[in-house]
Formats: sequence, structure tokens, C-alpha cells
Amino acid sequence: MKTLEIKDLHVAVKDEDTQKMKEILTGVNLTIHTGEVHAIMGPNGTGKSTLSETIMGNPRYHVTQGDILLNGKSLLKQAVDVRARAGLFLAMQYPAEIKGITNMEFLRAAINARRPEGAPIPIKDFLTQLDSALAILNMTSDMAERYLNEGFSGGERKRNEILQLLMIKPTFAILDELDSGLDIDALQVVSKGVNHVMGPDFGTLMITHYKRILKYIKPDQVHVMMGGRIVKTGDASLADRLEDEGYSGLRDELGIHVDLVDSEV
Amino acid sequence: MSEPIMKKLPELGLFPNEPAWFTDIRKTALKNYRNTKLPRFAKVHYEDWQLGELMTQVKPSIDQEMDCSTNDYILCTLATALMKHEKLVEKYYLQKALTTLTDRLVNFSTAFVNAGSFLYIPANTKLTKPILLPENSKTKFEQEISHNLIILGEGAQATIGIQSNGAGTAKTGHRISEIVLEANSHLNLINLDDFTAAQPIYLNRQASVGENAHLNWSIGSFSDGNVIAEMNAELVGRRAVATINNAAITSGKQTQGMNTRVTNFAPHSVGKIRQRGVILDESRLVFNGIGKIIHGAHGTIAEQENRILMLSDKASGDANPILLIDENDVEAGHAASVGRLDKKQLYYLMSRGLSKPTAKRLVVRGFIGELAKEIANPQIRQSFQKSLERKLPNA
Ligand SMILES: Nc1ncnc2c1ncn2[C@@H]1O[C@H](COP(=O)(O)OP(=O)(O)OP(=O)(O)O)[C@@H](O)[C@H]1O
Ligand SMILES: [Mg+2]
Repeated sequence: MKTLEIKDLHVAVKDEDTQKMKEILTGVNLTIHTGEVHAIMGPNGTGKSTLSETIMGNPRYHVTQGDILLNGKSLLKQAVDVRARAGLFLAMQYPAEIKGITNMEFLRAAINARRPEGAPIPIKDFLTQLDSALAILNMTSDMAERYLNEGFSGGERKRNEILQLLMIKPTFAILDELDSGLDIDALQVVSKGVNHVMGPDFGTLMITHYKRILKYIKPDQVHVMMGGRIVKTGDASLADRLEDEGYSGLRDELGIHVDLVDSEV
Repeated sequence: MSEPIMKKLPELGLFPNEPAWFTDIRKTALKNYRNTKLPRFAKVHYEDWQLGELMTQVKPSIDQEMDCSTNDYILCTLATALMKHEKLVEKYYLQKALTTLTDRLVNFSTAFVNAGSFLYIPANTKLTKPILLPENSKTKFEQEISHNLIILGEGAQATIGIQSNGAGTAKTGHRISEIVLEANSHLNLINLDDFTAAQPIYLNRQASVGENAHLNWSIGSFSDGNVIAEMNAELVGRRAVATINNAAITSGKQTQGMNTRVTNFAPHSVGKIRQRGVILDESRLVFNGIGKIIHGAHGTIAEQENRILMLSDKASGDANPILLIDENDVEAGHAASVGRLDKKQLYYLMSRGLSKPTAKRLVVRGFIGELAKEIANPQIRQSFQKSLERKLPNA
């Protein structure tokens, strides 16, 4: 069993306009083991993507306190690519598009990055894996030949993130709003993709606003994030409650002082 | 300089049995040479590259008489062509593509021409196999000053790949190419420039595109030394189409300056320039993209895009689009940029485990490799990509 541990994590980001550091995460604690599914819910702007990007190692986010540990070893000094090869994966809320590089080239490079130098994956093995991953996600092979995310619709990009997940087979995957932008059928297909990698050697952290995806990917724990930290943890029923009551009920119950922009609606 | 050169002319590199009209052209060029200026390459300083100067005794080489003609086309040295196909050479040499000898380098090259090939594809000959010309002439030139002629007769079709990696052993190399597309002909032309770092090179490539003819021109500017290059397509016939795709990489301390020009002379002609450049180390790359529409060329299209990716703080680059339009009924557009690697793209690739050098390489290759995809012939495309890879750094 492997473990991803977030300890008292404080994260700041530099505001591009004012050049001032702004604290976003204010002490996040979270432990995920392989074999588990965790979900994080929380209002817009509360720091869910910040948490995901910081775990992955996006250099824009600065850890000011606390630690991120993979199997007991701190990741803080590791660059994003090292963390990726160590087993982390982030399906991004807004994946970049890159002209001139085909999806296929990129996937091969990603797989080869995990193999010893001078021993790239045999092309036949690669194509076999690719075909089966495409089939799971109802994707056509011309999607693999297109430039990376270029001109992809919102839903296609999400699907493409999961294609990468299937090919790369990480130990821990963070799925940041995988469900947003997906139509009802696509949500099922993409969930099927995630469930395909699920198992005792895989742990996932899902960020979502809706309980719908949790119907297809069943969480062991649901966390609520507000004001830059996790304020409550429960089982799947917590998601139901949030959907019924919104975040203000929970905020008041816990006596937390955070502004919820949309709480009066 | 001019005086010793004048003295040398009689004894210097005339071709075997060179026709008098040809020698007369040399003489005119030599006269012009004395009172013309170096051509202008905006923002490129090449005055001290010693181009347009005679380095050694220029003699034609020993294998000037090579002939590789087939049943379908004529392919031989210029020297051979002057003997075997004099009328054809006379019809095209400095007559259609390059018609005025305006600057010092073109005059120098014309006065002292000592090499070159002649390729003539007769009317309605449709070649299915590409013609591959390695221009790393096995010949023994000291200072190569060559003039190449490529002619497609009416309705001819061909793919021609030309790879160049050296121009003799002297300090400089000069190479002029004239490309003539007669009406309704169709040419895919791929120039792969891999000149070594040892010599500054002057390239002047002039294409004339006739009525309804199509020129698809890809250039890989992957040389290691200093290069100035003129690439020019003139759309002289109605509905003529020319696309110039130029991919350039500079590295080390080299400078490459390129004037890439398309001129719409005829109505309904279409000219497109796409240049992509990557600048490394302490090098310099300048794209001057020139689109010109002559009065009366109505219903024409002139487009250009010049993009440069700068990968080093010590490098410098310029992308200058110039549009000169003397006609109202046209579609013209240009885009230019000099940028750096996109951090978001790098982060995305690295988040999948790619090391920074690999990620950079992929982004750069994607940026410039897009032009490679325009080359239809797989064999030539592969050589193109190979050259490109060689020129990109590993780390
Ligand atoms: N790179 C950045 N530069 C400046 N501000 C940032 C940056 N990233 C995040 N922020 C700010 O940090 C706060 C948290 O953003 P984050 O994207 O983590 O929220 P989120 O919980 O994922 O929201 P959503 O549900 O809308 O996706 C926001 O106020 C956001 O504007
Ligand atoms: Mg978010």
C-alpha cells in the first residue's frame, strides 16, 4: 500500500497585477492510500485547484508551510516531472493545447519517460495499449493523431486527460473537475475509464461540484473544503447533504467565518 | 579588388567551349560588379563575411561534364548543358526568373560562375518519382560559385528535393538558383540546407511561376554557419500559386538572414509565405517576409506569417513582415511574432513525466515541425525531419 499525505499545507500565489503574495491554502490535512477514492467538494475559489496543482508541483504555487509526502518522502523539492514519474497524475481543470505535437507522440514520450533510457516501448505494444484505451473511452484513432488538445471541445479534452491516465497508469490520480463540461453519456464513459484503472494499487482524489459523478465513481471519503482548508470529512452521504443544503448550512453549523459569494441565492 | 579581378577574367574559369554569349554575360556582370552595392538584408550585418570576394583561382572542376539525364528529363551540369543544350540554356539563363543583375553579389556570382546544374523537365512530363539532388557536389571546387537552372515545361509535374551541405573548400560559397515554372506546371520543391559552419553562404533562389502553375516550396534552413538567403517567387501568370514554407534553426554564434519574397504580378494569383524559426545559443535569425502586389494584379491573395521562438537570452531575432500593395482588389494579411516557450505548455508536458529537455524539444519540434508535415513525399520529409533533429539541442 502506498500513501499520499498532505500535512498542514499552506500555499500562497503571487498576484500577477499587484505582485503581492496571497495565501490560498490555510492548512490542509489529508491522507490518501492506494485502493481508496476521495472526493473534495467546495465552493468556487476556495482552493481546490490550488491544492491539486500544488501536489503536482506547479511552480506558480508556493508552499509556505507544511509538507506533501509520498510514501513518507517529501515531494516539496521535487520538480513536476519527477513527481509525475514517482506516480502522481493530475487531470487538469484546464489542460493546455499544443500545436504540432500529436497526441500519440506525446503519449509515447510520456510512457518512455518512465522507462530506462535507450529502451523505449516497442511500437507494437504501444499501439495495442493505445487501441484498448481508445476503445474504453469510445474515442476514434484519429483523436490520437490530432495535435495535443488543439481544437478539442471541452468534453474531448477531459476524455483526453483520461486517455493519458489509462496509458500512464499512475499510482495516485487527482481529477480536477473531470465532470464539468461532460454530457450525461460522456460522464459515464469517462467514469468507466477511471474505474478501469481503479484497484488496490491506485488511489484517487476527485474534485467535483456535483454528486452525479460520485454515482459512477464511488468515494470512500468526501471532504469539504472552505476558506482554504478541509473543514469536514464524511462518507458519500455528505455529498447528498451538500447538494440539498448548499455550503452555507455547513458553514454556519461549523461556525466558520468565510464569505460564500453565492450563499444567499 | 576590381583591378586584379579584371585581369583574371580571361584566364579564369570559363566553361569548356563556353559560348560567346555566355562569356558576354560574364563581362557585363563584371562591369556591374564594380559599381553595384551589396544587397540589402534588413537588420543583418554581413559586410565582413567576405561574400562577393574572390578567394582563390576559380576554375571549373574536373567533372564538369557529368550527365544524369533520363528519357524523361535532362539533368546535367551547367557546363554540359552549355555544350549539349545550348539553345535551352540561352532561352532560360537569366531570362525568366532572375532578369536583372542589380546588386554586387548577384553580379559577382554571374561573372565568376564555375559550377551549377541544369534540370529540364519537358512539357507535359509528369514524374511520379521524386528527383533527389545532393548538392554536396563531390566536385573539387575550391570556391563554389554556382548557378542552377530548374525548368518545368508547360504542364510538367515533379517533386524535387535538393540537399546541400557544403560549397567547396574556400572560405565562402555562392549559389544562385533559377526556377522556372511554365504554364500549368506543378512543382514540389524542397531545399534542405545543411551547410557547415566553415563557410558563409550566399543563396539567391528565384522562381518564376507561370499561368495556372503551382509552386509548393519548402525550405529547411538548418545550416550551421552564416547564411544570407533570398528566396523569391514571382507570380507572373494568371492564377499562379506559390507557397513558401521556410523552417529555420540557428545555433552557436551563427547568423541567418532571409529575405523571403512573393510578388503578385498577375491577376488572381495566390502567394503565401510561412516562416518558422527557432533561435538557440548566441545566434541570430532574421526573417524579412516581403509580400508585394503590383498594380493591376486584381483578385490576388498575399499572405504571410513569420514566427520566431527564442530559446536563449543571448540570442536575437527579428520577424519583419512587409506588405507592399499597389492594387485595391486584393486580400492581404500578415502576422509576425517573436516569442518564448510557453510555460503552461511545458508544465503540462512535464506533468506527464517528460523531463524538461524532452518537453522543450517536443514543443520546439511541434512549432517548427508543422512545416515538415507539408512535405508530401515521405522520403524527403524524413530527411527534412532528420536535419531538423540534428540541429535541435539535446539539453
Ligand atoms: N495562479 C494564480 N494566480 C492568482 N490567483 C490565483 C491563481 N490560482 C488561484 N488563484 C486564486 O486562488 C483562489 C483559489 O483558486 P482555485 O482555482 O484553487 O479555486 P477552486 O476551489 O478550484 O475553484 P473552482 O471551483 O472555481 O474551480 C481564487 O481566488 C483564485 O483566483
Ligand atoms: Mg478549480
